[in-house]
Amino acid sequence: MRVVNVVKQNLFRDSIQLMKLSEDVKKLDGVVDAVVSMGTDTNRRLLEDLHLLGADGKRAADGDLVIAVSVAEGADSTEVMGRVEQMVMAPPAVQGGPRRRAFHSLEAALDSLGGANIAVVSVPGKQAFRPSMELLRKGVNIHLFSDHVTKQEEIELKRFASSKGLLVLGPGAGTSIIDGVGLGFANSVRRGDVGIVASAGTGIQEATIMLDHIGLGVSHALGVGGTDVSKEVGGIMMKDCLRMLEADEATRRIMIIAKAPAEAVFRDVMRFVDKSTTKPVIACFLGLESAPEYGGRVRYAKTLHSAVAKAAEESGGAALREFRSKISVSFDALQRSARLIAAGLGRRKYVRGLYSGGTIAHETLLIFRELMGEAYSNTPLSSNFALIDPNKSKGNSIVDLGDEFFTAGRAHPMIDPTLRRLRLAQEADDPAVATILLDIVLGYGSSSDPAGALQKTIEEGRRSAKKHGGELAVLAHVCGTETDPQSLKDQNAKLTAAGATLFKSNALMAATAALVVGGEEAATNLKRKWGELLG
Amino acid sequence: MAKKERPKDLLGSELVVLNIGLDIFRQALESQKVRCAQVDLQEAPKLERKLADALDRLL
Repeated sequence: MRVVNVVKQNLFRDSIQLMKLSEDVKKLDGVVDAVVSMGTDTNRRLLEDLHLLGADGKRAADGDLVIAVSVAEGADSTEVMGRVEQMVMAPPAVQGGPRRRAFHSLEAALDSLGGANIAVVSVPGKQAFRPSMELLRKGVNIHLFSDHVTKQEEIELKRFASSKGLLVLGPGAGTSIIDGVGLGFANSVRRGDVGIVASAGTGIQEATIMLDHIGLGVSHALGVGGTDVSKEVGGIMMKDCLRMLEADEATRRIMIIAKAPAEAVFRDVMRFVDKSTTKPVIACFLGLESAPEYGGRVRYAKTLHSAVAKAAEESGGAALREFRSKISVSFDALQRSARLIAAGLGRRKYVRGLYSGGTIAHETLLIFRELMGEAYSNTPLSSNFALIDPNKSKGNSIVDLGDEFFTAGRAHPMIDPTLRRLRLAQEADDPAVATILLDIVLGYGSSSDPAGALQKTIEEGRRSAKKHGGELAVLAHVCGTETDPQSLKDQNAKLTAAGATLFKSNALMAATAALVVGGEEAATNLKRKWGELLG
Repeated sequence: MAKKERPKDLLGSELVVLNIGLDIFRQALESQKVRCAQVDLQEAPKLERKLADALDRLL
């Protein structure tokens, strides 16, 4: 085998095109393995881990495209690379197989539809402002998936939109569901009367799938982007979305989901809720220490699990019965399950969470802090627990692989499992690791088989751990529904076959992991805080 | 700041979507039977873009 790297300077292809190109190149005769990617730090490290990084690749810059190929023994590498380059340099429409109809101007696209009422924008962040503002001026709402939009641009877009009665959902809005239509990464969930506004993408996904499991549904779920509730932006869209949900006839109750916002914004949003809404509100501000009371109409939840539990309580009847039978477990049952897992671990002692969803990774960090002390992370709760190198875990670590550090120049881990697969193998190889946590996020936009992509690595990791002594426990939560494009049942079956233990919510998985590695102290804390975290 | 206008009725209307960027989101919309159009803003120079759009309208 011979590794060949070709670098195309200043050539951009989006991360999805690159992932597909890599798969197509791998199928060529004479190719053993291949990755086509932008030359970012993360990608160069990935190439190194896959033994595909050559001298030319090492010198690539962020804006360069790297073609890294392992050529089979006996194959003519010049001829193979010629075919590979031809494939990579073909226009994207040709790479995609049958030509898809794509417009090159907003006017032509709008004309073709006779107008549009919303645009999903997922171009690189630096290019997102202009088309978004142009569309707002034409009266089109925006779901802005792109990251790396400056706060100044966000404020300008949102102030303008707000003055026109339009929405700017994002930047960094992973998920919205409007009238049953999923935008970005969204699950296929039933319609109902719960209206959600969230500055947390996988927070929407986790809450809506649990609501779906217990027979409740969603009128609309509006993701405003994580920075909307920052001090500078001031919750402009969160308040506008609350206003829209209050006016919406299909919405009979409201759920707010956010990482704890700036104090002033929190007060402002809750004042708005108090003065300008009349519907029952469940407010899940993850990490909020204390909250004002508003006459019992607003109920606070510390976790997404608890928010759904409160919705089930409010509904009563079948929803409450379904919650109790399908999602909730007793403290005793959870402790039994944790003891069973802990019994096989030997001297292994740490937990490592490898997450694709940022909000649920954050929820896990909060649960750990409540039960056994803070864990290290690339997105830590406090700077003392920041991983100096996000590529290397330390002690108990929760890694958000969807964070910008890992996604610069490559597809999000919900789409491309490669990075998580490699990290999983790396963690499984560490004899100090007792438990690995995985979130498997299904839905529109996500990988067609996320569990299948990790199945072999889980099996190999558990086998190899046994050789080093003690079991490696893999805990997983599948965030999905039966009507998602990937079958929930099949995904669960693949994980179970690989030896993973499944949980109905991320909070249950996190609490179990805390009991496994945190012992009696964690159990005492959980018993005391059961109502807040899992009730 | 300009005076706030009455919110348009996005909620409760049939969604008609422009997808600008990642094609997986267009595919997701089409699988949900949503009317949508794909926009690629950076593939071709301006003149070529106009020509391509004119051809698209004719075809």
